[in-house]
Amino acid sequence: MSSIPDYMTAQHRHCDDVFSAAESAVALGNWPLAQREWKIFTRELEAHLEAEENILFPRFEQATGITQGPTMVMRSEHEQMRALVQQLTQALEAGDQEVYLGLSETLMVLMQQHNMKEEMMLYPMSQQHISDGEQTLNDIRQHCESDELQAV
Amino acid sequence: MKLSGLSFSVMPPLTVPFRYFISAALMVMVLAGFIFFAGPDPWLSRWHPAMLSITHGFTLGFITTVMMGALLQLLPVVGGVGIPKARLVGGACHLLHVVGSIALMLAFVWPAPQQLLLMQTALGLLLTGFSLYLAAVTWVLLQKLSQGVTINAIRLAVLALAVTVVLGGLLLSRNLGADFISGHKVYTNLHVFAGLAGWIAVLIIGVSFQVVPMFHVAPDFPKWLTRFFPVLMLTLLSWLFWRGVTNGDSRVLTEPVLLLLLLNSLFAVVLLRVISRRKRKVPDNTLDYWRLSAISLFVITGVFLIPENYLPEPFNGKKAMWLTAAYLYFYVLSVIQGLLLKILPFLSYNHLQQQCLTNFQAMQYLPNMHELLPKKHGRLLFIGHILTGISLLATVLFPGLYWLFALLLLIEFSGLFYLMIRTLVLYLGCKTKMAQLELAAR
Repeated sequence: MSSIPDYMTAQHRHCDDVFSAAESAVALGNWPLAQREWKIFTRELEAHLEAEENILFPRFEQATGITQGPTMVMRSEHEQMRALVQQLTQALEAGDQEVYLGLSETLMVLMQQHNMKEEMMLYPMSQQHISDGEQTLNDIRQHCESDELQAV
Repeated sequence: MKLSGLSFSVMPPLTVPFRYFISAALMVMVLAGFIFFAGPDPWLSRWHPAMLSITHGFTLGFITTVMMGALLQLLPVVGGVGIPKARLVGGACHLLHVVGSIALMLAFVWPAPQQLLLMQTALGLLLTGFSLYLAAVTWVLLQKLSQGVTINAIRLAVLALAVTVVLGGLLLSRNLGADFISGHKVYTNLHVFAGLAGWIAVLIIGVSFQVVPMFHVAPDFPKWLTRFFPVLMLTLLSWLFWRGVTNGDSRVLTEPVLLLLLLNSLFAVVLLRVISRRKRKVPDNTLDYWRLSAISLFVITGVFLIPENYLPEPFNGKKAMWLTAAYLYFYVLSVIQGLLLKILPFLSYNHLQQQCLTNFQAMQYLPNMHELLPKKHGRLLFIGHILTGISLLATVLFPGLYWLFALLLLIEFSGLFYLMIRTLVLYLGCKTKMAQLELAAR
């Protein structure tokens, strides 16, 4: 993982994996497994979003001078994801399979198109314009990994 | 990478793709009425004038209309660039295409002297519509775009569409007295294969590279396939053209057609493998449509390979027609319907979600994907599609069953039409509520 796009894209894929595991467990009615996977997903998603909002986006904005562009849209989509995650957590606690699956399809769509925008444009541009890309990548990695350690 | 003018909201208005989708479903509903009133005769030969109307109703009226609309939506999503003045250009192309397609379908069956006028109208409208569409899409495709493999496949599919249109135009011109090409049926077959194996199949394959991993959290298609497959398809198609034009005989097309079918079957094998390795394991109607289309390709290739003396006589005479019907209904229409079940709620949700970016409160009105298009409705459509497809294959062999096919076709596409309208009405209702909320907040 030598570049920002590679590392961040791999994180997206990993989040997709855990998300799908939780969704599949709900579809099969395996609620304890769903709870476990969902917890991992929400923690890792939050760590990823925080890394973007607190490390990557500010440095991108500083490097390009663009503050009202893609990063603003991405932040807003993060908030939408968080709102959906909350709704999904409620559906999971209530054991409502139908509501959960309707919402999970929605979050999946939102995440996929959000990821595509980031992977297609934002990450390559960040790699190109942030002068100390390596340091930024290390900071992001450190943030996400320390979050994992805390969880353990 | 250019930073100026960077935008994440290049999507055309929802009305642009939806008008293509809705009119395509409506055209098939009208076509069902036509099939019912035309009786059993059109099913006797592919060259019957009414059968030419029916085949163009499906290929031009439904398949191409949906694909044109979907492409206008897809280009900004996978390439990051949309066609210029999407509402105006998309609207004009749609009008010219729909009216031109109806004129062409009528032209095949209308008696003289109005037939000539209908043909002239169809030729004028379709050529103008396609020229405008191809110019707009080509403008996008000539730019440096991301998501290479899908965009490259789209480039080749659009090239095949241009060839299909030119050949179709030349064939129609013959009826109007302009003999640019000879009247040999090999040219009609080349027109058919450019459309079926070039425009339709290459586009389906290219789009699958993008949407299957995205919607189902499946692994990416293998690189050897995504890089070389569309080019290989076009190379085979070029060989088919070269053989057809130099020999002037449709019989020499058998080998390239077989290779094209085998290549498509290889794609189907990989598709099934990718699907089986998906991470999302929830039941999904779109996945069932993909599976149905893949299995259909195996059956079609298998039947194509059976030597004629092994087949019963009534089937032998209808083999080409039966295979084409199976290809269109069970491969192509299955993929298109399956994707529509994802695209309709996906687009509606995306557009509504864009509105929430500026007004977070509006999220309370945002419906979830299953509310926009219930899974149960999708399941019913899938069952209806299989039944209609079986009745079509039976009608090809026993034309007396035409009424059953017409009836089931009408039911199936009324269902699809209902789902489109239902999604649109829900979208518009939410949009109005969101706008009211924004007004109240001011």
